Amino acid sequence: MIIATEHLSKWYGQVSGLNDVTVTVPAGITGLLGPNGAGKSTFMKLVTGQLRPSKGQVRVLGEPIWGNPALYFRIGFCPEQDAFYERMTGLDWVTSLVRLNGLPTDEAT
Amino acid sequence: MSPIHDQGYRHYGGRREPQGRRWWVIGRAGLMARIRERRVIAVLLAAWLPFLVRAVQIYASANFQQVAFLAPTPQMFREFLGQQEVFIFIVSIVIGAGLIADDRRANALQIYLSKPLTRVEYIAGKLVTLASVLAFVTWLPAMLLLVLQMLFAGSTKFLTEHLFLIPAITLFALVQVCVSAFAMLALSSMSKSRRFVAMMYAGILFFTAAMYQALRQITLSTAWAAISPRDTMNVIADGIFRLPGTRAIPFAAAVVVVIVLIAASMLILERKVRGVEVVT
Repeated sequence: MIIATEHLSKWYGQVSGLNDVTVTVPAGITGLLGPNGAGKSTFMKLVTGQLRPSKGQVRVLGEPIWGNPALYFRIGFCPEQDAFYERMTGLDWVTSLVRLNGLPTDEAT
Repeated sequence: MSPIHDQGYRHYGGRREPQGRRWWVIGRAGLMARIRERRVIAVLLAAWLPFLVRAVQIYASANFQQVAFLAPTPQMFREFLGQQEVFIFIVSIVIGAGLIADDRRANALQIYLSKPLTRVEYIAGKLVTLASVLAFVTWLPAMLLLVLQMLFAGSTKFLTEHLFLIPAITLFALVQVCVSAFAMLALSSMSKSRRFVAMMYAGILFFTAAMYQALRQITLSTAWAAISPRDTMNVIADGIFRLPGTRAIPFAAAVVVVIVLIAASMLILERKVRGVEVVT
């Protein structure tokens, strides 16, 4: 399994973002569909380790994702918002991100 | 070479740099971006003007009897680092204000923290960017003045008589750099606007200094110096350089204030530097 969650829940204060989700996602392409407020973004943030679950567990590639940056070597994450600097070229930005993945300068460029 | 449409996703199989060096990627990128800016170069050049003045002073005192009274003393090195506080303030604003605020504005924090990079490494990288430039305008010129004194005087007599100056300069510059860098980073993490951060930083420094002066006049007590980072740093400087000074508050109290300031900054950074901002 690529992703496995057990009784996964997330609250933002008094507001429930995700409630008791148990799901497994196999290898391949999987789409996540739902109405506004269904918790799609919250689920994505939880399975990419951006948010800490209020309750339950998330495992990605067999390992817990929260607080496990080493696992990010094996994950590609595209956020829903644009992220770029006006002062940097696209190539500079991508190169610096690749270097964060551990590629040496010569290979990153 | 196979056609592009035949190339699917492939895992990178080349070498990777060992973990624990990601902070340097952040720090280096920040430094390179800043030192390309003309205003940063202008500030850094201006920050070395007091060094030139002091160098001339040391040269003249070593070579001309008429101005021997200008000979360097431990007080001179303490005053030099005190004067550099103006440039610490300017450098902190010009370089530090946007360090995290710009990342928040560009939505880059989420990208950074989805890489194999811990929040500690991210903050350490930002800290390195600002701290290295601050050290460039404090510790480095002060140590070079010591070297110049030896060269111009042609002896190590002054240094051997005041050997404590090496650790004193290093320690006080470290305190200056840490306090300014942590405080500025904490403020930078609280906003998406570098201008607002700069105003907050300047406001806090000037407001606390003014508050101290007002409370001192009203209560006739210098204990209020603890609310003013600038006056607290003066106490620390006098203590480290073994000078009597005004000692508005006990040295130990000043150390506690500095520790509390850095701890509060770290707490703010811990709460604010997150890939996803959760508003409850």
